Amino acid sequence: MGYRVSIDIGGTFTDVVGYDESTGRYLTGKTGSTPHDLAAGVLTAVRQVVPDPAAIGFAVHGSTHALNAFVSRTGARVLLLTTEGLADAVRMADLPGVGGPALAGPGDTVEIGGRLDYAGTELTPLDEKAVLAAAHRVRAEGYDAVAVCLLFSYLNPVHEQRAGELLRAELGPDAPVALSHEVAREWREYERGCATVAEAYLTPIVRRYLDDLEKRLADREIVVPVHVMQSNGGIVTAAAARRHPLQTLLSGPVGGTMGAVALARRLGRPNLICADMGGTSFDVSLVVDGRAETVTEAVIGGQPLLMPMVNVTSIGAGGGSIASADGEELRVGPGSAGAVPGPACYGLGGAAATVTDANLVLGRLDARSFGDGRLLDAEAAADVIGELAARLGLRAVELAEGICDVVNLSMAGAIRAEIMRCGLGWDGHGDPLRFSLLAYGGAGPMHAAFLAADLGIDEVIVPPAAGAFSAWGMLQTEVRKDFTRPFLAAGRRLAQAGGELADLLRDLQQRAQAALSAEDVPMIGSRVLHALDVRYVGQLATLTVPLDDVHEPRREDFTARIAARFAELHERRHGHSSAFSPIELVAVRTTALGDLGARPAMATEPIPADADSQLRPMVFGGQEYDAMLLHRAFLPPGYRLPGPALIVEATSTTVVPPGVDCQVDEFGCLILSLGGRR
Amino acid sequence: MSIELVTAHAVAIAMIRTAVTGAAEQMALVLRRGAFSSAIHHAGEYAVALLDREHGVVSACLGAPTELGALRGPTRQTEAQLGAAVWQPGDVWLLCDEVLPGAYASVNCFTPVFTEGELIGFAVARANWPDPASPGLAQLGPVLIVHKGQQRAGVLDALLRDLPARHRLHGDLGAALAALRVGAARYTEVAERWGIGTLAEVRDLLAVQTRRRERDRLASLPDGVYRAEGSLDGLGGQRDLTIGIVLRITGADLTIDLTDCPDQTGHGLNCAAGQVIATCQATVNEVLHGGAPIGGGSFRALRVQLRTGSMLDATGTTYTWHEMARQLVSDLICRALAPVAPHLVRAGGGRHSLVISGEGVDPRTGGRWYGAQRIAAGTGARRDADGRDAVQEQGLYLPVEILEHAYPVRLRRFAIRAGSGGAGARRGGHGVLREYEFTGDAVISVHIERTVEPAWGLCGGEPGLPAEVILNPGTAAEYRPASGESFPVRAGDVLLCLGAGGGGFGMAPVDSPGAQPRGDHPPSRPGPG
Repeated sequence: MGYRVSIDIGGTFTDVVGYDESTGRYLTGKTGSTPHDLAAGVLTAVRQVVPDPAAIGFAVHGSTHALNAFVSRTGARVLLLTTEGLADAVRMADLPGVGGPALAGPGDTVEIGGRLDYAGTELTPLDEKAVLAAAHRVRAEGYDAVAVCLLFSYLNPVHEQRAGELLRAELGPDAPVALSHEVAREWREYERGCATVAEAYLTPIVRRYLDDLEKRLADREIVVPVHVMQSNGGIVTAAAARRHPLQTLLSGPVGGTMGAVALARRLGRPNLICADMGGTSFDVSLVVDGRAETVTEAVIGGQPLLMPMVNVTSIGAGGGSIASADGEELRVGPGSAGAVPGPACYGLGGAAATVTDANLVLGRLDARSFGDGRLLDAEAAADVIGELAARLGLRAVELAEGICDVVNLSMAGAIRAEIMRCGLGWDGHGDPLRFSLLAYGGAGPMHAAFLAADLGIDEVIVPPAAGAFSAWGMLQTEVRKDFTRPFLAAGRRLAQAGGELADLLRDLQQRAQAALSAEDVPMIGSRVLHALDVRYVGQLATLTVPLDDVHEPRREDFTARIAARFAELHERRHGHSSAFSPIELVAVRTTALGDLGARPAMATEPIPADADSQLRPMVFGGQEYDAMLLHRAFLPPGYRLPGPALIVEATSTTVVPPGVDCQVDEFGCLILSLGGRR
Repeated sequence: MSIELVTAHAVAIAMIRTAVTGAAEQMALVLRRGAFSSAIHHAGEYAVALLDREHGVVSACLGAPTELGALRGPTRQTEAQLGAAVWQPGDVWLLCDEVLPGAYASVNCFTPVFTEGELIGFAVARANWPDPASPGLAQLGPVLIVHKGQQRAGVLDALLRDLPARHRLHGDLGAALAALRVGAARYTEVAERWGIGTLAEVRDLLAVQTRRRERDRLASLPDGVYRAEGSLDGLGGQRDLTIGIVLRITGADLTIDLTDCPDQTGHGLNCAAGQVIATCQATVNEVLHGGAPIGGGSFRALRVQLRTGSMLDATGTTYTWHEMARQLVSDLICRALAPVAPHLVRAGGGRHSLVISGEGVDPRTGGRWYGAQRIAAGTGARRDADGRDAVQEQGLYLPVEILEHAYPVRLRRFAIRAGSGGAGARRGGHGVLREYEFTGDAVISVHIERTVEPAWGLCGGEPGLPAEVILNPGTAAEYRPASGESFPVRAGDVLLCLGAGGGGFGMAPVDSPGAQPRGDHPPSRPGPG
């Protein structure tokens, strides 16, 4: 028996959750992140929960490291090799939301002769000399990585494979070379090219950090393979992550969503809106029918990316949003005080009135919320709020509450838009899927009851150790690998596609099983699922329609079955379907999943020495209340209390407004019932 | 947590603004996300709005330039025709209020919104249906398509039966209905949460605020009459089409006079009045008001004068190339304002100046194909920014991998057309270059505009290069088709398409290449009021 450990490395803090297999208990730890030496922070945090590192039997981690490098454009210098005549094409897609500077500029692109036609047949051979010249340029000009995206490689990768061989022969076998058919085997050269450049862009930094982490852990006698969270919500070994670093892009934020999936099962609530709010960030994701809502492409940091990923969307600055006066109107956001200087109450020189300051003025935030002994500066918060209130002709608490109301309403609007972007919640009448709101992160539980009211949701769930919930979530996941192949079929071709499709699925099934074996997943825990991307002819977006098994395409009534399943899904997702509109197949998606063992119970946080219960003033609806301030660790399962109340724990604060009922369930979750009060 | 009493105005304004703009955005999202037609999901040819009981705009979300007044029309017309008693909860109406042959038909779906049995307003979704869909639609008047929440399948089928694009339109209608449900639900929530009285008060306040902001901006410009002129080729140069614009700023009012223009043409280079007004509103909003959100108070200070029977207020004709004329109108507003507001305007843009289309038999399948492609252009520079390169306004280019799969062509080159943006202190955006090789025989048509007077520079900036098409460039068989021309191509022929550049802004530094004056000084002059 030993420990299973997860580590969530955020921009500011590193959270650790350790599961002791002998006692069946979880322990949480927290330490400041060490951006310049991530391994140091990890080791410090691990020591807080596991006395003997050699007893660790399983380790998984996620981090925002790659995402930060991506968004702040501090990744590798990449040379892009693309098909002759099309060097500028990577600069020209005018897609909604795409606008960030390209990761490889016009001067960093080389055209390579060699052409395939629309069926993947060679028209002109690969210009190997041009590839070699590019390799020399990589060395001469000090590029860190190479991306290769050639036309029609998704159909026939032979030119890309040969280019990869030549580059590796010149630059070394472990040189960071990303080939588009390996990164995203889908059609559309621009999007595939962007994903390929992104992979090359991240490869050197992700490899460096994984190598360093594994080495430092090994020095501490932690010899188990370290797993890494992937954007798709599954995990892989660090060795696999080194080969496909792009897939770890969202490894930090998806931990919470996967925790939500586990919680959904345990609580019997299949549909959850996951609100992860930190001091100055706010991420939203969804669990629908017990599964994390995923997308197969998204725009992140101004770059379109083709890969299956959990749909985690960053919406606004949360507690860091700045309030200001625009004539006689209050404005909240879109400006943010960021983490530095941050809200005025951080005491780091912030002079703007923020949402966090407003919460502190209203008594909705405990001054001990930093969790590390420092206190929030209540006076500074009162000053900035008071000053703005005077300008708008309001009382300070009136303004503070207004700021919170406005930010809650606009966050609720953004959540609603996100639900609609997923094609859900279409009917607009309340909540067709009966979502519960799952709130975590330091500030999520502070706003959750208000968000739920604005969204028309009756129930809020705050998991134990809400601040470390993402790390807990990483212990709840499975190994996951995704495989995609384009498969275009409409009309007559669709009617005749069954045999070809079944063959393709069989091939993908074998690849999927081989990938699971490579990850040491026992046969008994492995599953392979297949699905098709389908749309009505003319539509832009596709829906992913699950298949029963690899043999389903051989059935006589295959087309009718898929059409019916698609129509049902479309009706549910978009609120309408069209019985007489023809459908087309776009792609095949295969997912390999491998279970690595059971994960019972919930996490708890240690009770701090200064924990006590007291009365404190809080303002709701313009009225001051004497509200209970309670420490969460003292609330046993079954405990019930009516709002108003403030429930604090080391990493998070839960606000229970008047009229809202709070109950502790058997897992230690706080369940807030709004009882139809909106 | 319901807000029972609004005590703080500053807060109530912010909350209601957040709620109603959010509602319009969500409607747009649902419409765009669910629609089948690329005109909606790619090109954004739609508008959605929440209206009050008097048909005034409470909040709107415009995918493409749409005349604000057009959003108020359909519900008003229906009520005038059928009486106020016609509005029933759970009903949705459809009204086609404009058919522009060669371009599109404007189809509006709208639903009355009630709280506690009282009519508080309407949710409207307006979208453009492709032209072949339109005959007869405009004569129908208002049609009840959903009654008490139930779709009237027979009515819908009859409406769509004969339309070639019926599958797509059926999907588009489904998306519009979903958008209306969202709009109505949000609208009801807002009204119930804050009360209709507060909602009306805040709506008026926001309208006053918008109006004041617009008036302040106009009042900051000197009174005067500002003129400019510019010309279109007339698609092939058969006829020079010069349009003169007169902008009158009097205090806080702006009148745009576009009566000085040729009579309507016979070959589709025409606009309907609503299109021109929409273009004027969008340009004024972009240039003078920094792209502010559009609401009930917008454009109250703006008047547009047109001459019926002219190409900018054409009736009973075809409108195929309306965008080419609208681009010129937009550029002319900037040209006229350049002397008094050089910090706000942009130089001429190259957009909407080259469309190629082709048809033939695909030798791979034996099936007929038809395709059209607009060639992306550069936009005009501003005093503080270069023009944007390769702006594709009407949907995307098909990715090369999809294009070659769907059509018997090979794309040999696809690149930024370097040097096509006009030089200047800030350069104009570059157009694109696309070189096709045909792999089967076909017939190609080209429509090129603004070659005689390409996108102009402002304040000393140079004009952009005009669009151009060359068949088999650099060979003995090289041929430059004229605008409006159709010509056959054989397998192996190469067609080079060059998109126009935008104009530059300000004098280029003397040591920069291409800095020699090519001399376009805007014939714009302030005159006495």
